[in-house]
Amino acid sequence: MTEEVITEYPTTYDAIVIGTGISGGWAAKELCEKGLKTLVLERGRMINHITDYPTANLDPWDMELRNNVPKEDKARQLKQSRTGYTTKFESKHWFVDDLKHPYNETKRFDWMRGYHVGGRSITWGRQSYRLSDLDFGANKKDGHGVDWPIRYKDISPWYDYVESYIGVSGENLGLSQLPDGVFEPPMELNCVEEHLKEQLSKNYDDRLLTIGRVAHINSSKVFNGRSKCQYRSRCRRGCPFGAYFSSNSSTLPAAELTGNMTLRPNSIVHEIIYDADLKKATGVKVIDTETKETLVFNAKIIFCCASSMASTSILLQSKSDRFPNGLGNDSGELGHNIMDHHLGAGASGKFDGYHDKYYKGRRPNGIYIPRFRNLGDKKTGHKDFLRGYGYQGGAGRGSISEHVKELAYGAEYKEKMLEPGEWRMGLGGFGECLPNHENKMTLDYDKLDDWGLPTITFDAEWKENELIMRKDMIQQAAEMLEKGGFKEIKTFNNLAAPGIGIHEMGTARMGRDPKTSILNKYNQIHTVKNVYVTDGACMTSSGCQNPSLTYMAITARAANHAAKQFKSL
Amino acid sequence: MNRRDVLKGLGLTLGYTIAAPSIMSLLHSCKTEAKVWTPQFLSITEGIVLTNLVDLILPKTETTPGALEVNVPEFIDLLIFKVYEDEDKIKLKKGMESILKALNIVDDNVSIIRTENYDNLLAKYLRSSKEQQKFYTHKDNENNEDAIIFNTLTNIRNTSVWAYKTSELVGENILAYDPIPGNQIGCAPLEELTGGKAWSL
Repeated sequence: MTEEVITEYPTTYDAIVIGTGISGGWAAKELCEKGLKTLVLERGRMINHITDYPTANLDPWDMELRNNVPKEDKARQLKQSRTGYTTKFESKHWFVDDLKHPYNETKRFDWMRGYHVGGRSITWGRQSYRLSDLDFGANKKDGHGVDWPIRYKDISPWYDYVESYIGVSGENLGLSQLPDGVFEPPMELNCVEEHLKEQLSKNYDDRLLTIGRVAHINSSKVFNGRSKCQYRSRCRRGCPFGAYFSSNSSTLPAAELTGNMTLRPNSIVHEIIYDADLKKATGVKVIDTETKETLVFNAKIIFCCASSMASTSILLQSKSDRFPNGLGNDSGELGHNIMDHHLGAGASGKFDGYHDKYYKGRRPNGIYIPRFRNLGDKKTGHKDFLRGYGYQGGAGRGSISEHVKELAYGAEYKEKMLEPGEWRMGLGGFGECLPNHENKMTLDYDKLDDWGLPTITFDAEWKENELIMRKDMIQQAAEMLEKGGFKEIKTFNNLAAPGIGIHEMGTARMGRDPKTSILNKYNQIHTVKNVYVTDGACMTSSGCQNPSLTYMAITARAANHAAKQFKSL
Repeated sequence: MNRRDVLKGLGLTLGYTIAAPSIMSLLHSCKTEAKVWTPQFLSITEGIVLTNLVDLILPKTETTPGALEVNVPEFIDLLIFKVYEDEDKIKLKKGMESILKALNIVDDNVSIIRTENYDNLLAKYLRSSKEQQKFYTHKDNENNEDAIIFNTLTNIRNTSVWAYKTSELVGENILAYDPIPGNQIGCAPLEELTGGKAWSL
């Protein structure tokens, strides 16, 4: 880089929020509603709710290549396309250009990123499950990682608060390992899913099947300009009805409404400035991607919500005499303990029957089978692995049935293939990943990006416990389908690499001891109390539940704590 | 010019084929949705062969349009041209060459190939026994000439079905089209919901 010219903005904000995704949106809303003048920084472009969802209403035939992408475009997203679904034409604009935004892989890591206002809150899977005390106590119990500094009772009211605000459709089951919530009416199971539900209850006393819990409005209740799910299942494109929760449809407009938010897109935060005398952070350094200027913005409180890996990268880049290894990194744990959920292991089967039954509406949701392994009692304990997994999946009439397949081609074949095919049902496990110091990300200062900033190098892999757990995920899925009367059961085991679950987390973990963790029980950096990290980086263990709801609850809790602290600053 | 060659090839085929009405529709674009097209990836001859195969795979019937009416061959060519990776393009090209060879097409004689020749080829491969298909799809046999033909025809058939179902005419008028369902019903009689048809979206 040439000599740096830094423009310092004279305004001192009450708070700065880095990032506008699931966590950043919540931090912005809570801080602004508590009266704090808040600068919200986003590295990517502006996205306005509804008007900036260009593919939201396209039918397949409205797209030249029917949702495929020209190979020249695909070549720019080879890493982003590793999921197989993210970079279709309908949603490719929500994922980064890998050539412009490179990272390095000592071991393969599938890092899916969305650089724009709203981040991955636009494309998230919307599955929303609470963690329980089984999860918050897990590390302490088996000695992997460090103990969480919070328990379920600390976060439970914030789950209530968040669920009531965003709308989560689901069913209460009274399970200790998967706490009940404040729910919108549940979506419906189809007849084959209903069939498996009954069969599970008949054949097992330790497991049950329920409809997925999703962040969708499913009633006529009013949610600040958002309305009921229309069952189009085009969520990933951005929803013109605002039926599912995103920052763009929900938290950012709420923050905007207070008059306290300044939203600044095209602003890459790369450093938090630390003042050794004050023992506090005083602001952030930003590159404006349009003017290429380096700017400094000052604030009393800073929230890191840039996503797990990006927040950690900012902290690692924030070096000073006091913190030569990155802000708050006395423990040496910053960048370590990467976790994700391992998935792609399970089974599917065909169901003969219900030929005269079908469904209406493209349900943007599947089924859920809550965790039934290692719940803390003898009966559910598994001798080969620690922790557990849940299943997601569903049934549908898709594939062409056998007898139509035999027709192969021709007039009769054509008429038959216009009818619904056979019923198939799939179950795929979502497994917990143990925290492990060896799984890490570091910065490479030899490979700089377009902004002259260091790039991230990943060195993480699935370890033994995950691999052993997968065998049970596959075996139990096949067994449940078999007991449910399904035929032609096929198992699958697509291991892929960490990151594929798009639940990457853990690189600036919360803990009780500053010697082994970065953040305290309110998500403050132990040694720099006016910096909060509330995205996935804060996670001490992973649970097996989809994590976004927890990020929201943790962020809301931390922001309210910060607002209280602010008054005494 | 290319287009004239296409027309010539198809025109000469007409006299011999029972699939004439569909191919006519290709020619008389003013009467239907179908367009006369010049391939972007395939050769003219390959385009003619593809058109004839697709017409037999999803022919026009009394109740529903055929694949040619919704421009399936043209779309397949576009898809290969714009979307296929180089490796898949080479594979497809090799497959088309094998198909041409199996149909005894050399030089400019594509016009004398009869519908029954195309039909025999499709029947021989796509209606082969399960054991035979297992052989064709086995990784060890990927360079086997018959396996190449089988896999290419299967690809053409599957892509045709998908392209047909995702075309505007079929997607909006033939399949059950409901762009904004508004509500969800988990389980109800098929007849009641769609009259026996699959949902379009």
